[in-house]
Amino acid sequence: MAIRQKTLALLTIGQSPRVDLTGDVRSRLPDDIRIVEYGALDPYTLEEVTARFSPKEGDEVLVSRMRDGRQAKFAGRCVNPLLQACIEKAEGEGADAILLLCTGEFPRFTHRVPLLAPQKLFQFTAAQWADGGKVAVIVPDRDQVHDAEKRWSCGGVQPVITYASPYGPLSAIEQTAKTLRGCGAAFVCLDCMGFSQHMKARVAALSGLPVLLPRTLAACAAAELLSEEERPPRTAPTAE
Amino acid sequence: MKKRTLAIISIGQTPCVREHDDMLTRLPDDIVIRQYGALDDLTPEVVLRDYAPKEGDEVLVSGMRGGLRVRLAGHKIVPLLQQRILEAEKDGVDAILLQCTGEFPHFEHHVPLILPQQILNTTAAQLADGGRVAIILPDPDQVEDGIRRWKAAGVDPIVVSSYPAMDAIDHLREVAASLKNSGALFVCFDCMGFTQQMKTVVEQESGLPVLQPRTLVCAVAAELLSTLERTRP
Repeated sequence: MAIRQKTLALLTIGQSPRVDLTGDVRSRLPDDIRIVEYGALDPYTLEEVTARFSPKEGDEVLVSRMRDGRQAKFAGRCVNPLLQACIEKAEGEGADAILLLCTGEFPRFTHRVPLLAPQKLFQFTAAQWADGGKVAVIVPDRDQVHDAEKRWSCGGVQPVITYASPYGPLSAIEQTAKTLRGCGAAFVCLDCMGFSQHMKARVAALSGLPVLLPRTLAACAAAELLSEEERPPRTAPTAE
Repeated sequence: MKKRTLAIISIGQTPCVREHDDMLTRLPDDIVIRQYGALDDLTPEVVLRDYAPKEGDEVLVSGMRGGLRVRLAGHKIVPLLQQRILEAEKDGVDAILLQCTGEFPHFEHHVPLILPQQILNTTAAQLADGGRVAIILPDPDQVEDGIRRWKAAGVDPIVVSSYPAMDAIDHLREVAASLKNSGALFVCFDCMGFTQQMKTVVEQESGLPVLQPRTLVCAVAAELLSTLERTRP
């Protein structure tokens, strides 16, 4: 029996296409899942985003990427209705499931198909792994540190929060990673879907710690639900 | 390439992961495994005599080396699992995966310990978002506890049972067909014993997506342990 193609909608809070991100997601998806992208900020220029959606005092601060690679910073409450509209569009266009490309906190969206918002799975997996111990968390922006401290402390870990943008130079991420060596954390959480597999590898090498990357963790969960394919067997011996 | 070792601890006997096992397809080449079984040193007679569940016990199911199915009282195997955890740590493993979606008390451990139940419940609850999920447990005596546990996890559960073995596949096919118009968003196997083949059967008969903890939990373990940059064309 032929395996049906499934459609996974990738929904960025920034602008699609996320050429910096889909390759990593694709690396966890078997061939029977195809990707279609949607972006909350697709209709706007960066200047419009700055003028209309800049975060005010007390707002949840989100950071994402415009089509041309520039970073956008905006208030969560401004983007929620835009995301709801994208969800409806994706469902109308036949998405079998939707992956929200942001580890931020969101209100309940209205949706018919499974909607995976990575935050809970990410924090939950980290909490189980840490088992009450210290975890280093890297957020993109200094203005997110305070909220991150609250969010991760409630999530069952002892967080040590630092910041470095995935949309800035790699050297800044590498510098931050070096400061984590010997800090006593069990591992590092890169708290943004903007962080890539390559950044994970650099952070792991420079900090000496394991690193949990929400981008690929979420893609794995989506693949486990949607894919009907058998995967190829591994090539290396299983035990040494 | 620096390799990390993942201990896989079965509540039954090893081998619990064979060559070409679907679990292994989720573990990249920089992770190697070592297997341990709670019942490894025991004969079937001893298991049936000393570890069988009584009224009110949490029931877990597993297999002995020759394929004999056994029902176990959850609380009775806890000390055996604790022993295996300490053994695995002495063997220098980097992390441990307990190959059972049952509920367990806090184990003493120094390396990270992956307990599938909460990973499965969190993923399923997140995807269902309050909606209906069909749950398949291995044993009918687990259904009542299963309903309670899944409601507490935040889903609207339909709980059925079917034993995960190829000689019981016709029964699984019937159970899956009964879920066709159930209103469930997807099916969730609540046991690490359900394989890819069984997932395919349930997908075909129910017409629903199926979440298989056996591979989901390994994929999550790989995210924690592996630093290989993977690509796909």
